[in-house]
Amino acid sequence: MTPPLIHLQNVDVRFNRHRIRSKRVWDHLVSRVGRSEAQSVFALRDISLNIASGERLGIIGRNGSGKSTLLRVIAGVIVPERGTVAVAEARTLAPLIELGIGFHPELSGRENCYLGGSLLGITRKEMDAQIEDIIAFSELRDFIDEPVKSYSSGMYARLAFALATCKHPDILLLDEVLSVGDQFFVKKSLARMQRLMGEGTTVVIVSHNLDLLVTQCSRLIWLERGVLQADGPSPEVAAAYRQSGVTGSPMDYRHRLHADG
Amino acid sequence: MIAMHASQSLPRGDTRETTVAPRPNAHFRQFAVQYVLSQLKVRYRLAWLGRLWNLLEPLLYLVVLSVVFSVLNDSSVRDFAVYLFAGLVPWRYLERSIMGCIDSIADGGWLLRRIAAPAYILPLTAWLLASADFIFGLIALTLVLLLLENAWTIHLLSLIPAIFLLGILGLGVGTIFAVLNVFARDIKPLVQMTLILLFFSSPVLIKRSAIPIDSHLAQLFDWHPLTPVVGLFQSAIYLHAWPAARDWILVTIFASASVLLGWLLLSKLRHRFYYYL
Repeated sequence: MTPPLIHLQNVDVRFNRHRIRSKRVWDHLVSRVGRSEAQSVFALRDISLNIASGERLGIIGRNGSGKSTLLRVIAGVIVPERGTVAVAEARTLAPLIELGIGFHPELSGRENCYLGGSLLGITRKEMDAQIEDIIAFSELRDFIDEPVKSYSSGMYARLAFALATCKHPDILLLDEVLSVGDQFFVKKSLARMQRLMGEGTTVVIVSHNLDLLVTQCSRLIWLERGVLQADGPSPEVAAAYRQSGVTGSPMDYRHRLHADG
Repeated sequence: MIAMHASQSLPRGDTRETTVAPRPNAHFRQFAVQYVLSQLKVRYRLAWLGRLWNLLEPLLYLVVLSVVFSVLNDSSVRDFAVYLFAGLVPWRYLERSIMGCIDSIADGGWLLRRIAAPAYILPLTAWLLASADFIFGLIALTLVLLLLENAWTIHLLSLIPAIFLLGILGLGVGTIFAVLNVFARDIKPLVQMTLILLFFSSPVLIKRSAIPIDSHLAQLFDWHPLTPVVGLFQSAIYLHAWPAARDWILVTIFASASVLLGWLLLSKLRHRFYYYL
């Protein structure tokens, strides 16, 4: 049996509210005394998941359900408090694409392409050959030499997507990136994404656009308050998720399904 | 088939292991080079004078401080200028390394919140930028030495290992404060104040010969952490002598300990940065 490309086992991520707020030496000294478990909240709880090579996985859930956190755990940006995360070695993991791929706000779009490209293993020479394609794809020719801090969220996302997909990555993580672009760009991005998937890229997408996920992903997982509620073929999980919004809380729905046998 | 998951709790304190495919180090080296180049560009983008200013600034410092402190040190301006520059150039490198590094991780959310990049890359690039500035300081120092007779002695060779140790020290101390500054942002003004106190109480500005041997100030100089550091440079440039063994040993210990502690803090606390950036 082929081992999964991405493997998560009993992953817990907990945010300590006090830690996040404290920014002064004094806060740290005081927090030694008053820290309690009640100040922390689970962003992910006991998540176990396997993602096979070439799979197209969508993640759904309400705001604050832990979707983006899960993506960050896979990207290695967040180290879980407990559990195992393993991504097969010798794989190129494109940086997490959300609003900015790791763009330096003071640098221009062009400079950020060279900078971000270096993290993808693209040399200066290779980027010289790729940059025109990136500019054309992102449709930012008039702004490419402006600092990215002046970009709109859509412009950020376009450049981030164009850069991350210019060299064939093994794993592509997309966080709502297709929600901020206009319809033309979304269409173009989907076409490129499908081409990459045809070439074997594994894609994990977080989105509130259920229709998009159902059409683009073969499998969906549904998170609710950091807990994995459902995992299965896209149409079925999407239907269950939709129904949860109509009939009550997801917990009620889960219990009902179990009761139904 | 759809699998509905019931939550199940496992005992706390279980294993924690993250094996995300590491990017090859070559990528990060390339990134570090690109980042330094782009930072230099940002710095000088709107100020062509910037590059010239890097050269003029230490010279301006030299002129002003030489005139003021030569009086206090009861020394000729020319003599004091050499003494001053011998301590000022390394001090400014150390100070710029530390203050350059201190914000590097705290301001690095744009990178560390999106990519599993090794955090050392940020203080390292800040330190490289400080090192680029230091080169201008060295050029200014060379210009001053060119104006002097008998300045070029064999003892200047000891500057090579001295600069190496100073660089390591700056990187180490800078990394330590860069990590601490992530968790407590008021570390920066505290460090800034400490550096000012260290500078004005150090042998950079005050010559040992200008103070009574048994005075408190002389005792302070003996224990001052900057004494061995600037001593390496003052011996070679001003005294035309080989630096004392004690200075070498102390600076080597300071540099090794700081870089080791910085590395230890980075590797132990890297996983917590996300929550504070």
